[in-house]
Amino acid sequence: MPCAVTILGNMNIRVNGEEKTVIPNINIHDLLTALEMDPTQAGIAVAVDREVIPKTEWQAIEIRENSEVEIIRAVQGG
Amino acid sequence: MQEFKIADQTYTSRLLIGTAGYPNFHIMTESIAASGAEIATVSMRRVKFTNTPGENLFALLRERGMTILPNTAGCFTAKDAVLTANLAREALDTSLIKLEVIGDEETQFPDVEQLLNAAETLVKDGFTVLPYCNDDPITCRKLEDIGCAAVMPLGAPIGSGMGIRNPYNIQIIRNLVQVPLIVDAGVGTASDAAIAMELGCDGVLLNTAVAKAHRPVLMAEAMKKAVEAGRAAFLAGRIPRKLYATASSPQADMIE
Repeated sequence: MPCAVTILGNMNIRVNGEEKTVIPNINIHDLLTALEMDPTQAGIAVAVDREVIPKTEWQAIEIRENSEVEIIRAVQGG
Repeated sequence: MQEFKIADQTYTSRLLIGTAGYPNFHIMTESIAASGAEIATVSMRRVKFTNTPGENLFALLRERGMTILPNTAGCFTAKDAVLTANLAREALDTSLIKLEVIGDEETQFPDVEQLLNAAETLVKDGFTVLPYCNDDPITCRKLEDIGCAAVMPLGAPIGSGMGIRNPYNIQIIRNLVQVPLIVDAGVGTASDAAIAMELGCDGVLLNTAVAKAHRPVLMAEAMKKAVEAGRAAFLAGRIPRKLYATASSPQADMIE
């Protein structure tokens, strides 16, 4: 699915496998906001380049060019 | 072991239920309620960027006071399973993990080597590891030795509904391990769940048998009763099997 929002900027990253162009050195909190997600919601987690970033560091951690960001949540499973 | 306890938490119900594959969300919630289960499994997947917000499973299960057991379904390597477990711990605020490391798409059988590696890493990282494994007593013993909080051998392949295909191995596992023994996968109908419990298992984890039943809520209720009945039968102690009859009514003082 294409992203519902366009994020202005000139830094390329991948979020959940999709190409995104974002503001250089955007932090995780702001990235989630730009993706129209509530960063304070319960039940989500973020990994950058296969490293889980705790919620407490979402403001501090900036994303670098070509990073692979994964944003996950719980879904129905067995 | 009279109480069903996982990581210092005592549960009344010995049935653990999956949340996948129900006709809809409403039937899922009704089925979970009917099953009496206190532990429900979930998977961790990417958030989708769409304009239609999906149901919030995490919030729903939490509101109902369920213990949420995230799985690592779909992982084929220890590395992926460990990352998924860490994401689950962060997202769901739980150190419980149903560890699945699959070796083959078609059979969904566990990759024992990868499973043991992942279990070791996660136990060291402080996770409460509940591994889905083969019905192999030695693998189960190794998982216990590593420090897993339970062992969860399959009764039959996931979603197959073939029941407990090797009850003798389950019995041997029961004798070999001290941690809770939970049959995970293979249950097709209520009698399968009862058999698992009669063999001395501490619990049964199932999903498809309820989700894909013609009437899921009714099947959930049947599973609840089967697990309770099987447990009671195990505690009561079955009579030995004999080839020939032993009359139950008195043989003396018959009319002539």
